[in-house]
Amino acid sequence: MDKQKILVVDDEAIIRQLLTRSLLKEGYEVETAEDGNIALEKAKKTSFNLLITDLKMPKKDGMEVLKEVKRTNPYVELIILTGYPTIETAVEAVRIGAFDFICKPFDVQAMLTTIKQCLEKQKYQIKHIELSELMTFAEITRLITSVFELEPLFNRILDSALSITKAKRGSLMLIDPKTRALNVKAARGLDKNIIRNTEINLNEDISDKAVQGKEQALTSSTLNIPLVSISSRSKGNALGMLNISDKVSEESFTEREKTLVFVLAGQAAVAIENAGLYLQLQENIDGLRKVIAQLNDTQNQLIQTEKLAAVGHLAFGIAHEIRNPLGIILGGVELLNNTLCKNDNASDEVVGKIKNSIDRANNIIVDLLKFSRASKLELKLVDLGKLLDEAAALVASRARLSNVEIEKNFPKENVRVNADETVLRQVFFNLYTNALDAMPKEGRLKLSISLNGKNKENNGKKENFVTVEVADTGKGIREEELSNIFNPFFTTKEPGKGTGLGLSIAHLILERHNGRIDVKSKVNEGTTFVVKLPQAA
Amino acid sequence: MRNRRKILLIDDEEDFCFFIKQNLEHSAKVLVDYAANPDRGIAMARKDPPDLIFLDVMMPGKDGIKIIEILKKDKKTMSIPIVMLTAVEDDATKLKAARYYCEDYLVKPVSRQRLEDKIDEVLNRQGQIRA
Repeated sequence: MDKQKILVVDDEAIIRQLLTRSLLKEGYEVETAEDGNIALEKAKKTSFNLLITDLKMPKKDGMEVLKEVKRTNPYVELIILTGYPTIETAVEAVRIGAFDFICKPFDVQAMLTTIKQCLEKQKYQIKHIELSELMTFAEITRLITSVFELEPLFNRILDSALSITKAKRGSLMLIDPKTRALNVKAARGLDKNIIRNTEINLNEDISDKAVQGKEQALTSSTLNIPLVSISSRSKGNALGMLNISDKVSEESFTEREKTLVFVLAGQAAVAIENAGLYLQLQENIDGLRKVIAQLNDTQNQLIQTEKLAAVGHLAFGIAHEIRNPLGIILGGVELLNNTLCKNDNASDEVVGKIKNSIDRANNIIVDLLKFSRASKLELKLVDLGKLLDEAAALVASRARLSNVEIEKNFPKENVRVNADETVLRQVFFNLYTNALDAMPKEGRLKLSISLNGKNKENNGKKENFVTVEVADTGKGIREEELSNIFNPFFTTKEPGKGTGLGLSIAHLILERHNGRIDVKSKVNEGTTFVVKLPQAA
Repeated sequence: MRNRRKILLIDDEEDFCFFIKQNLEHSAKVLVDYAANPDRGIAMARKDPPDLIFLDVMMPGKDGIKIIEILKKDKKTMSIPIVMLTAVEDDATKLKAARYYCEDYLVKPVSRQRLEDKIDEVLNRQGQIRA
């Protein structure tokens, strides 16, 4: 165990010698000073346990020496030794916390007993203080290691360091792994502009030395402590810097405070590392969630594709089984018409109706087969405006005959989507045909493309969507019919005019393109189909 | 009077064959033979090569694609134009038929008028090539 250190300050050499001899005999380490200034010099270099001082001395008064030493070393014990005791000096001695006030001449043995008691008391006092500091420190460490979000963690570390050191001003800086510069992550008592603009390159100032050398860089009023984690992961490299300055009491930092902050910095570095790992883990979990969502998405698409393939297979079989008898019926009807009922208007009409029915049945098969084609899309980059134009060209002559004006509102730049060109063209052709069916005499068919910006429509993934509107000024659709409009075999057209599969196929095809179709309509005003498709990058 | 053109129809739907024969022969421009059995159809084509063959795809025993392959490899029948006449409509079958230089692909039901137009179109083209 280290010897307890005592500084004896007295301008009388005989007193210094007497005390030195006696104290050395008792096993203490002793230093002496003949005046106040020398005493202060020595107190700066060594942390004494006890200061025994005379009051009346040349150059500097003993009371001043006591006050100053107490300021830098709050745990130092004080014994006053004076040949001129007064009430005032005794009161002052009690006020600054002197252990005893001894008058000269004194009994050496009694003096030694007092010193012994004084240092015993100090020992227990220090232990008590250390214990309570350790408890505070343990609580701070527990708090720090329980925070996993970086910003609150930085603030808590800094606040803890300020609380331990009783300082007003401080900052926590971390090294940016890319730029190798120190950036302020938390600050107290500093100007906001300084915080925002402070970026220290690791060659500039004291921080550099502290971080690189992993040493406790110290000045009298500032602490710059490197944040070095003890974990094997950081390989002993500093993560950053904890800077503390301006003690509330305007004193220097004590050794004890420096040690505590240094230990705190080590704990803080581990906590910062852990929080980083936690964040990384969270990101990985988020990544996993996204992958799972994508897997689910893909699985659903696969199921959908399987279903479509099954429908396609069925449609293929049905097509074969129905088209053969349709072929026979048509052949039979034509034969009857040619041989048995020649030149008979009534029978011509009957034959006409049978032929129309054959066409209707065949159209259902044609549409059913389109379902099966939706299961094997061939995606490529498609210019949407061009595709809408091509589909419009297919209905242009019919539109002219019905006095329908086609209006286009497309953006100047090319809008591209990933799509099966043939299938998507068919969707818009169907929508145009529906619109023209709703405007048999006259009207306006408005086609527009607009870019929507970010949209969270596709499984939480942010994608740019393109919106295409196909609007007519036709008779409109009643509200009770709108909800059924995408159901297979639902039609608002007269029997034989539509199979009721067109819109459900459009719905299916757009779903297969990760898009969607919606409808809005007002009776006697018109109907607008709104198609949304993911924009190709 | 010019000889009536000979058409061979190979299709397992016998009723269909009967009506097509009756309808096409009604115009007195063509003569139609038909076979409801693929092997019999091949034998008829070899024995008395027709001007044009209408051929079904899905038939028991041999499908239409196999039949074209046989007929196109046989010197006696390789130059006979073949038009598929079938209830099967899929791209893969159409591609296979095209690979064997099949003239066209018609999907049932088909009107008499359409068949007559197709016969004229194919045989005129054939005549131009031979001339």
